[in-house]
Amino acid sequence: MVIVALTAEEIENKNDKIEQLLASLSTGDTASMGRLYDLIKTDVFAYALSKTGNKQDADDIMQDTFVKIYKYAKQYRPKGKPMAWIITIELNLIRRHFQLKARTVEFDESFENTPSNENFEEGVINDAFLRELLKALNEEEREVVSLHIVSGMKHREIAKLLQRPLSTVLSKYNRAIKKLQAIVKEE
Amino acid sequence: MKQKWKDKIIDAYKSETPDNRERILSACENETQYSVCPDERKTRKLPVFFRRAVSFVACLVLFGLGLFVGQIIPETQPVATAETCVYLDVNPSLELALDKNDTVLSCTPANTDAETLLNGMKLEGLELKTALNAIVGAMYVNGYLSSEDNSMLISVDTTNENNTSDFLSYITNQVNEVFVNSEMECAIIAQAVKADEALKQRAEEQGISVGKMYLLDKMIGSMELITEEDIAELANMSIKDLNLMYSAKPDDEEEKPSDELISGSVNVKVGTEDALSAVLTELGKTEDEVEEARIFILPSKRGETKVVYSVTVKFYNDKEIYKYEVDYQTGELERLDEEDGFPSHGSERQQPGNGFDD
Repeated sequence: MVIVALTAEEIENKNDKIEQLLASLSTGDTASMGRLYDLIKTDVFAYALSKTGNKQDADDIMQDTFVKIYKYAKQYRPKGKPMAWIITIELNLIRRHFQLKARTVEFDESFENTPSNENFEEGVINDAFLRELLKALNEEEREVVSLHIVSGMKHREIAKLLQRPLSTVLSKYNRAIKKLQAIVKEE
Repeated sequence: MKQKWKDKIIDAYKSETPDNRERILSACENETQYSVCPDERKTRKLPVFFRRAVSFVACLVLFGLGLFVGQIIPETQPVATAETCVYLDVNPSLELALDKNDTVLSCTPANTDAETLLNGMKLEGLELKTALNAIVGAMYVNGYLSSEDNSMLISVDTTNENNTSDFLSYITNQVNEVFVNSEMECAIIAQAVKADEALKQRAEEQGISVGKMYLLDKMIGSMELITEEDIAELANMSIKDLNLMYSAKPDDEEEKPSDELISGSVNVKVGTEDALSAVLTELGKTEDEVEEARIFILPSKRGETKVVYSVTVKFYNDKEIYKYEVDYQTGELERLDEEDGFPSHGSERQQPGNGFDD
């Protein structure tokens, strides 16, 4: 299976779709929830994983995020940036998660042994790469990579979301991609 | 090739994402939809004009309170030893000496603007909180602090070092309390200082406050593009310019110092992204063509005492490196002649560098 990174146009289309689904959801169309899940599950999971470094925690946060999206869909005001709203919800949940756990991020051993993909062989390959990625980058680098590459958010949006200077976000992204390019070259 | 590693990342995350569709849909079915998010229900903002008016009146009241209370406090104070000195720099610079209960023992102007500001105000005997309200309120009323110029440097020299971090937070919050009903927020650098004789002497030589001198020393120590030779130029710069430069320091992997608290953001008309856009527009290029770009906030090299965005850009398929200075107030830009490559620092502390490779 080959998945191609989204173009700017595709990202805009994706944002439009998310907004439409949130609008449907706010009118009580619960069937929209399934379509929204299919559309952004990877974005939500990737961000949680980038912040926690732990698959089980990311799984829990993903579920809580979707439930909260469902509960507060009526509260969303369309501005063309639904991912920022969704990630804000998720970030709040992650913060609460860390407050509750009050522990530092450690990579869970179970991550190595639980390939979730049905295609086991491909799952193993992805596990290895993702594990390497997660270990090579620090939390902030993973966060920026996840938001920019997986969710397609612009650097400026990320800077605003994380309340960081643009140059800081770009600097972290720059450092991250250099590490990632080295990993890809090694393979 | 360029897309390959990005696709690989998305592919990896996608294949790793668990399929919880049914579980999540089931969980949602048991939930009630709300129209207002509890986290965002708290405040209903008043109109901007009303908030500004309320803020202005509040500042006048505080200012008046400072004057009134000052008048009724007896001139003679019991002799007490200062445990803490708080230096405030906006442009008026002044020094508050506090006893162990944070009661003001003395308030000393450090320049003529502060003399004007404090004229008629007697703050001795007041609690720090009340004195701060009166001083900051007066700064606002007299136009030293405004939404366009919102920078403040707070320096604390105390013999009680156990709770320096808490004290910096407290004093920062107290300053911002003055503006709680307005849209304004101060951009504050709060720092713990050790005002030894050497520091005082250096400050005196430059004709600036101890707090500002301490900040300049920190800048020279931590920002490799700023050297001791720049000290006279830096001393003439506003707190706003210094705040811009210092707070733009990139976060590094080290822990944040407990003797420093940077809060709020300096209001500028032209942001870093605008500065880069201005350069790209000038050159007729787009972000996609940028191989590498770095933006620093540095003193101008063009003989003016101000800070500017120093933008260095290199494009794909172009060996030339373009260097510009962009004014953060007006967006005006000037190309620099030197073409000696990207700024080299030897360390990454002073590299708010931007890499736009995609």
